[in-house]
Amino acid sequence: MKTQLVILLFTFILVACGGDDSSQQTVEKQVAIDDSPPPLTNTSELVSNNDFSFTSSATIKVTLPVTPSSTIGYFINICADFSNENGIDKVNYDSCKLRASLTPNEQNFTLRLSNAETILIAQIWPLQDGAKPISQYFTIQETGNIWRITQP
Amino acid sequence: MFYSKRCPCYFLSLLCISLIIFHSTSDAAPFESCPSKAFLMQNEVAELYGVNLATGQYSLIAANLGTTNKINGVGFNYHDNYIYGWGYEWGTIVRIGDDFQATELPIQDNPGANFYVGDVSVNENTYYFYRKGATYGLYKASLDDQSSEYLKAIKIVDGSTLSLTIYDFAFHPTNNFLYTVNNVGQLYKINADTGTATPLGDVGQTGTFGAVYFDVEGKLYISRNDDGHVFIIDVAEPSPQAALYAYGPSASQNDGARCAIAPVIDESQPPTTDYGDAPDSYGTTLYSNGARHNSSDIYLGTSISMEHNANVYPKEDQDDGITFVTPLLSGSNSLIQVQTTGAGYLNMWGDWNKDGEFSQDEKLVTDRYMDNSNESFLVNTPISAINGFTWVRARFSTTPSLIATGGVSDGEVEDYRVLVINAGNSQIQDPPYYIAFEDSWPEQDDYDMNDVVILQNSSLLLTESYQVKQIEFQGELKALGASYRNGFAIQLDNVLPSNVDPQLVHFEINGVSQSISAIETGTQYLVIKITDDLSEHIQITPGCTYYKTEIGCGNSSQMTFNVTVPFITPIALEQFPQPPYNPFIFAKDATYHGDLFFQPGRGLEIHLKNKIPTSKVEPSYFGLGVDDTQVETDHYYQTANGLPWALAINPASNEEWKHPIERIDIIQAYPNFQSFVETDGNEESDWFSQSNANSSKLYQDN
Repeated sequence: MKTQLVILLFTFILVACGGDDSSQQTVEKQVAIDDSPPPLTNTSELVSNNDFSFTSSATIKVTLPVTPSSTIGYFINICADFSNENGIDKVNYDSCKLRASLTPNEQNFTLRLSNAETILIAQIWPLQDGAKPISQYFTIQETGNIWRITQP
Repeated sequence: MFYSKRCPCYFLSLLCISLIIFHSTSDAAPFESCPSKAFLMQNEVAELYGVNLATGQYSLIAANLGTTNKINGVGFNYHDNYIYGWGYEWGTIVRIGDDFQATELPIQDNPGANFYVGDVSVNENTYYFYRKGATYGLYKASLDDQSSEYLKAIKIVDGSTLSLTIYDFAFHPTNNFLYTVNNVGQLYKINADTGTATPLGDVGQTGTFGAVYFDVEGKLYISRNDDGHVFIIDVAEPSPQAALYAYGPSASQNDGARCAIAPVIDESQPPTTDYGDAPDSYGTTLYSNGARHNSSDIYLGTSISMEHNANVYPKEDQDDGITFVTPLLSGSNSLIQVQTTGAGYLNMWGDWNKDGEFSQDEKLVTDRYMDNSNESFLVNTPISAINGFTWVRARFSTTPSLIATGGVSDGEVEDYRVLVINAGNSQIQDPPYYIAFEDSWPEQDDYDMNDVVILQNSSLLLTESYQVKQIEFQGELKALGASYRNGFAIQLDNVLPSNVDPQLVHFEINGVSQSISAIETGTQYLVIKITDDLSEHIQITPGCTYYKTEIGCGNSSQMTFNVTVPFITPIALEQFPQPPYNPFIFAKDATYHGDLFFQPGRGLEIHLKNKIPTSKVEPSYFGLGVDDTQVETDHYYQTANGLPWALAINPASNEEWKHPIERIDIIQAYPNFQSFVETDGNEESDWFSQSNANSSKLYQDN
């Protein structure tokens, strides 16, 4: 951001109505002075590096665990759009970045995200009637761009 | 439904009337209008039901019609809005008005028997009735009290000449012929003036069709007594066939009446029918005998919506009953979750061969009984199922063994677009990209970035060895603020066209399979051409100039596309091009595209900055206007200041990117765009988020 100078502008005292001196509160209000150029109103005034593609995206490297069972199949969905309702993750499967079966070997994938996406869910499902998923979460800002998903 | 509401009043008035006067002196008022519902007269002592032909849903209208015997041969008289029939108690014609009381109408020259086949002509105010046998035949009696033949039975033909084993007939709404289906499924057309019957062929269904109706479009409906199935027949077809239309009420004794000039759905009333939303090739709309369910308290998920007719893809309903936890894994088990409200039977179909239809053997779930439950269970997809997205239909009803189309009296239908992959394969889904173009290249424009806006989704299917075996694009035209005529295509750089069999490419526009190939011929790298002219696929709102760029110019027309491209030889993932790939617009042949050209046609391409053109580009166009393309250094489609003519914007999966209003510079709509550009994308990389937008500058769909 372009905020470079912060000035303590003023201090004032609020006295609560009906209170005594001990109820005095001090509030300091800080105002940012922005010395960056004024915003442009025409894109034509912009100048860009001729190599810059104007496209932004993020990638993460994901390692899938080996399947925990040789008799029951396991499937994993890694998705970006989900919510938690009453303790249950409700996933929009249209937002899944990866849908894959777990295998006897670890699998590595590179997934591409929007820069506006900050958290992912990995749900591992046993392929059996009445199945319940095991969920793991990945927050890009906290964890970086490498996600090693643990075996359920 | 106004009949049901009238019933309590009716029963009270009936009680009073029957205590004071005889039925024969009652003078009920006619019905207020020509109703869309059909009437069904049933049982040994006549009872009258109302039937929604669209769904088969029925309800008792009147349990007491003021008679102790049957009423049969009923027909609705469009001329006076009364129901007429044959009253067995009196052995003559009866008339029924809005009090649902039968009034006997003695007729002159009464044949002296009871009749169970009858209807009222649409063209004339006359009741026609029929009984097989030499003693009887086809008769008519005028219902016009101004006619000299009023209530006089006139024999048209004797019942040995016209000898049909039929239980009802109905007048066509326009041609004045009677139509009927006999007990072995033979469809007949009867000349009402001469009594001559013409066989029209075997409709493929047998039984006692005790109730026969027409709708205003000339479609014939026949209701079979023993199972209540209602079939629809297009009598105008060269070989008319009976298709199951709805699951209606069964009865040992049945007769139907309907106002033949009424549509099946009364759009003046609130909707009471649920439809699916798959493309209409699957049988979705009423016109296509689509799957439909009458309003009830059982449904999939926790909510249901009602429509007068289907919202066909790309329009869609809000479905909430089925969750496909895994893709459908061909030749293997897949996991789905199903939630139901109420108890009933679940049936599901999948279009495994992607022919645009659900055949009877394309079942995924058959008659699974569920009662207010939320269950996860395995389903098996046949190994022959073609990889890629296809449609799945789920129907839930108290009626078991439903087929994929037709009406039923309760429950819900939900249609889903679902991914099918081979077991062991995996799917990588690319971020959604909004590809926004200015189409003035090589001249500078106003940077409102809405001349063409395409939402582009793409996904890759990977083999077990992580090679790309197939790519699928799904897209939607979001804006067309262009004065020029533009086509749209996507190039897969470095992928050779010879690695694709065009015959195996599946291409749809608005869910409709296209006969033309999406693979452009004669290119160096693979080019998937969606259209030569985007404007041909949408309609401009009257009073507006463009598509979804001007305030107050909402537009319900849509253009979506789906292309599935399998590769002959799978391609290593690390060698495959990266999203958003290389989408571009191009000038439509023989159209004006700016003063620098006459009609540049296909050779004028506009790509994202630094994306390579196709081999069909006209290289002499580079460097014209303010274009500063440097082919030798691979710097394409940019000005001397490095500004592009196209952007690829990828918001979060749950967010829609909104483009600027016509002639609003994108920097005014998205102020952080400036910092994003000036820092080469190192700052404000989410400049396109709606939280960073000046929403008053954005086009809002309305």
